[in-house]
Amino acid sequence: MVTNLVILVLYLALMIGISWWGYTKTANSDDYWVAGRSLGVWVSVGSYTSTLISAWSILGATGYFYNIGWAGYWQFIGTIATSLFAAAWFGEKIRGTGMVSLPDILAARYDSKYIRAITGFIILVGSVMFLTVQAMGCGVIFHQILGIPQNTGIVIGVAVFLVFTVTGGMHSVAWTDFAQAILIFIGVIMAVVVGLYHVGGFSALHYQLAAKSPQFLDPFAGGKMGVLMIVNWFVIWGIGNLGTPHFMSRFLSCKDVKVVRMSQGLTAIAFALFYFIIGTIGALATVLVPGIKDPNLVGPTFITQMLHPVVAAIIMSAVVAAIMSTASSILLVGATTFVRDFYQSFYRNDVDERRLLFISRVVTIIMAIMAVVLSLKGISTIFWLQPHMVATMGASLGTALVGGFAWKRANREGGLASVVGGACVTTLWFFMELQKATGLHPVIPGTITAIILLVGVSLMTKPLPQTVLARFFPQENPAAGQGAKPVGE
Amino acid sequence: MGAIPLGIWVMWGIVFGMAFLATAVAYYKNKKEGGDMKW
Repeated sequence: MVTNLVILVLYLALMIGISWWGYTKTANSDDYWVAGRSLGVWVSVGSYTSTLISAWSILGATGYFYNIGWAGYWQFIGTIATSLFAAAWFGEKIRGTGMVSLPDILAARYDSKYIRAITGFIILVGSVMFLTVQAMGCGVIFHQILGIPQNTGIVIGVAVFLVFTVTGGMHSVAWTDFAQAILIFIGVIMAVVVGLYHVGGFSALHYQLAAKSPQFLDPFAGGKMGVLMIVNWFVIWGIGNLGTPHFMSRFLSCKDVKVVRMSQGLTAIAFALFYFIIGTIGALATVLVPGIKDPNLVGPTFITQMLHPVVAAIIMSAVVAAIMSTASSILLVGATTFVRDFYQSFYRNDVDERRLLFISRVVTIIMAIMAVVLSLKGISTIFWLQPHMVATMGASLGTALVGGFAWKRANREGGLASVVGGACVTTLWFFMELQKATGLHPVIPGTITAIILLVGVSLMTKPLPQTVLARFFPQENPAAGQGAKPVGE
Repeated sequence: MGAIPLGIWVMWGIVFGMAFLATAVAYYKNKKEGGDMKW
């Protein structure tokens, strides 16, 4: 327990030190929201990767591989596809706008304040939900590491990530993410090395795995992972990530489009490698610590039973790191959304930089308090609703974003119909539990509806004027594009 | 690596193949544009 405490305190001290450095670099709201658009490739890779890796990635995913075998690896193909798409086309489009947030981009592309408000609302609700889940994760982990009550763990955890978000904004968040990504990788690699030593190597592990059950080495898990399920996973994350604002804010924080492309390419490799390691830990746990009923306990049990206490403490700190990096990113996006898409757009636009920065910090604190209150009340339905929010964001915001960049004819009415229709169909499909009857995850009908509405309604209504489109399609209309050069390029 | 069936190798190949393809695409597009990049 003392070892755990010492290592955890050292880790938290490092994070707060980085936050203070971020504070010294934050002079205005652009610094706070998008790190002054200064991030290079490696910091972007670390930041994006550790934001992708949440508490579930280490705790839940290990249990998932433990139960299903290597077929669980299909789950992550959608996220790799997102990075490929971003490296090839999407990332440069987002960064090329030179804007600050996802609602900024949608409002400018579709020339609509309403689309900004609807998008902002979806993001705010989603952010509070995501944040609450991370806060609950803090409670569980601090309880496991230090033996303190879960509620105390929630308060301590939120207080820490609040400090390093509220002080330095994106500078702090990106650099603490980078440090945390290194810690997470060191932690899981140590677990794999020790585990492989125990079983006699990678090949020996798989012979023992096959002896347990052939299902563990079947890419379809003996029928448990069918083709339809693989397609579902591909679409859930492939589309879901495209509408998730805390990932988009990473693109906007990069120095330029070249950094966005390369960081997305390398993120894909880091992500594939990370889950390969997690899959190996799941396989090791299947062989070394069989018979665990609760999948969430597979990772912690393997770590505490198989590894030296100091190594175990480092790995558990990596789990804390995963929660903190995800939570701080969500917190920052939620605050940015409130200030830019509600306060500035609908209340006061003539605010000086110092006041804007002050309001951003106050909103950040309020959101963190809301997350603490919801987690202390133990509102478990939030766990249930969180995947639904990712699907909703992907189907509605992701479709409107991609469609807006790909198709010049997409207009205000089509954009609004797409965002609202996509969100409604995803929600209805989810609450009516139609996945059970059809086998289709809500994101699939939601996205199809959003595409049909975007195309159909746009074709039935007037196109947007060239002055609005010039910023998004400068190459097709160089004359109109002059004077509308992307901000920040 | 006889312990690992071909199907698993194919699955790993698809996932890592897509990941390396993403890096290759980024490298190619950046090289085509020319100029420096902040690492």
